[in-house]
Amino acid sequence: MPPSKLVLIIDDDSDIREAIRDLLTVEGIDAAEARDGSSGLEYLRANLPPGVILLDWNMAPMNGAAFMSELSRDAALSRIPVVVVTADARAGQTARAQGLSTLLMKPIDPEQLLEIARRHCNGEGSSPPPR
Amino acid sequence: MARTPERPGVPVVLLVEDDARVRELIVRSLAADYQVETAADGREGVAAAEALRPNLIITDLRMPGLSGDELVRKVRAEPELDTIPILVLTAHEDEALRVRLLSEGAQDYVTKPFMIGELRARVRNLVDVQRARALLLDRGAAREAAIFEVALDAIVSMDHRGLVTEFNPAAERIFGYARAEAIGRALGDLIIPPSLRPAHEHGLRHYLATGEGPLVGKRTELTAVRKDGTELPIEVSICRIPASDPATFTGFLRDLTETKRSAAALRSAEMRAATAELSWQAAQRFRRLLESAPDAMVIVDARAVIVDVNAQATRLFRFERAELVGQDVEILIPPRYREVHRAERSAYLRAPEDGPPSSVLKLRGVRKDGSEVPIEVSLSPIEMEEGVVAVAAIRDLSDRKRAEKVERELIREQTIRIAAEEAVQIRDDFVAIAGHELKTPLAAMLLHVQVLLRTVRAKQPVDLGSQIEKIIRSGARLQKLVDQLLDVSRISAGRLQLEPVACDLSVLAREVADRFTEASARANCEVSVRSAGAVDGLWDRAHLESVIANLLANAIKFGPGKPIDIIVSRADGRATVSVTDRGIGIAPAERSRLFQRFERAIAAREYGGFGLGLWICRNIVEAAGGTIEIESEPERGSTFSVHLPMEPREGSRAAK
Repeated sequence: MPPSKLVLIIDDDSDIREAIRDLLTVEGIDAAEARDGSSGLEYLRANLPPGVILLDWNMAPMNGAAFMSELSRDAALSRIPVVVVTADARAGQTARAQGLSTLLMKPIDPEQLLEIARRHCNGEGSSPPPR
Repeated sequence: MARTPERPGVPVVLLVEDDARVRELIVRSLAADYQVETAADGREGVAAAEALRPNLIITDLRMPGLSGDELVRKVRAEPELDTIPILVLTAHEDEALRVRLLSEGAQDYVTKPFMIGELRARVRNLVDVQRARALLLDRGAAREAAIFEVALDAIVSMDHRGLVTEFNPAAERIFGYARAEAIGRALGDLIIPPSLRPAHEHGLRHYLATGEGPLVGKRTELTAVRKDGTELPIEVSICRIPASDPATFTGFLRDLTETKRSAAALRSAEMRAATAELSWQAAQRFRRLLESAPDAMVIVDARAVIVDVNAQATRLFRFERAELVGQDVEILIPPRYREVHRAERSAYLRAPEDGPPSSVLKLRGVRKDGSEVPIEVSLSPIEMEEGVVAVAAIRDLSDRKRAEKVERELIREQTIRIAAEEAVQIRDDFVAIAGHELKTPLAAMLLHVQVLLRTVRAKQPVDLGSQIEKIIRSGARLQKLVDQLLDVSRISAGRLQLEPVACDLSVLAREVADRFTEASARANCEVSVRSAGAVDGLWDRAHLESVIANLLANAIKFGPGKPIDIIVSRADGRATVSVTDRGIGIAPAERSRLFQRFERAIAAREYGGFGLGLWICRNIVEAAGGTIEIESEPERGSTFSVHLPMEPREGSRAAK
């Protein structure tokens, strides 16, 4: 069984980061946190690539759009799947226009979140998480 | 003059408007899509048009110095600026003026008070048309370009052989040929009188050989001929279509019949003598000037006999022109003032240079029916061969007062209307932001509930207590946001009430810092509170706490990983609490906007942070009779200082 990858949560709201992480943990998925775009990039450059990045779109100082353009410049990093998390439908449209097809609207649907995390992070043939 | 930064590729709009408020409102509503440059009067506007070559000129009509209609004429007189459309802002009653402006070269108008949406739409249209037309002209597609012309002039194009290639509807109207019968025929045979045809053909050949022609690139008055053989005076400007090879020419022809007819009406012995001396064109211009002046004009000779008046003067005094010309100017002065007037005007006419150079007199005039009217007269002497004549520009003060009042009301209405539109916009944005803000803790709360549910179902060994604490924390955060929203609505309605009680500001600051222990630890900020002993005063405890909490929350958010200082002090009968971070700082340009109710420029980029918090803070502090200020250096950090009186002042309780 290939080792399972973790989920990188980039969000400037610590409550949201913690809540997503707790939910992933309880379902047996590991997570790492970054509090904005630039610390997300720092994490990515120093660690093994995560299975998927959950990216808050409206952040300060480095927002989702700026993070994406940085990411796309790095050939190694640009292959990592990114899912945009936002409460703002307009921001969602902007993200779509940048070619990001997966969107999670706030409040986040836990089933959808877990489905995404499992798809990207659990290797082939991994056992389903205990329920 | 520049109001918005230069943006390559963005159309440039020149706004000429003397009222600073209207100017600002229009700039604000166009700045997103255009580079808006402004000028405060017509003269400045003409200079700016020459310097900037904007894609559109928007001009007010009533302005001190050079008015809007004079601006239109000046701009249209410059071939270089000919393709720039002009949009005029007019008042309801300027109907006649509006029609005249359109015939003199303005393209469109908006009636005050206007909806911003309408202005935007008209600006967009005009700019699009101007750009399309400029592009086509650049490519030598004059015929297509001419489609975009709001054509009052005849537009006729011919190729290098002198054959007509374009003949627009105005040309059809003026010369009597249908387009179909004109196209392909020699222009000379159509509209040039037989006597001038050799000159025309020679001129064309000469131009093609040498690149020089007396008519190309200038405005000239000529005689033309209609289909029926009758002749007419026209004004012609011819330009070679850029980069056309072989050369193609487009001529703009204006029918001067009407203007000439009014010139022929110049009748008075003295003026006829002067007219003979002057060139026909100069007289023409003088007469046009006289009639186009917004004021009543009366010209008197050295003996104070009326030589000429314009139509405005006949309307003001209700005399026929013939009843005035040849009369003493005192016919327009009430009998009781006539002696004084006679004495003063003869002194003036003897030695006009002794008088003030542009003397303005407030007088009373009298109409034919004996009724009186308050007037303002400006006198200027003009030297003529037979002596000095005086030109009196007379303004009906009763009229002007009325017009000024109307203008003021229009501006007021305009301001209110735009403020209302902005208020709707702000409300919509606010609802969007508030929704986003509320969804964040709600999202966290629901996720924690999910964790709890899954834990319970799976009977997993997870710390239930900590999950429940997190739910409570999210709930508290929601509670705080709802409180903020209520504060906003109270402040907006002017119903913020403070309840001062005795408290110690340093204790208060320490309590707030304690509440943030967890948050500051998570952000890796060390928060220190310093105070030189107790700072006791009468303040609204809960509201003051929320102010300090807000400033501290911002400091943590924008300066993570760096120490934060809260300093409480007392000096000159005032208490001060300051919060200093060492974070990203705030650029000077953004500082003044921080305390605004809702700052869209920032909010569009990053919601939350500097949203309503600082606006609420400012309102609470001001309601307590205090002030809030900010010092900041980008990349070095910010200090927010709240200065408070030791107790509430009379009447300082209610928020603005």
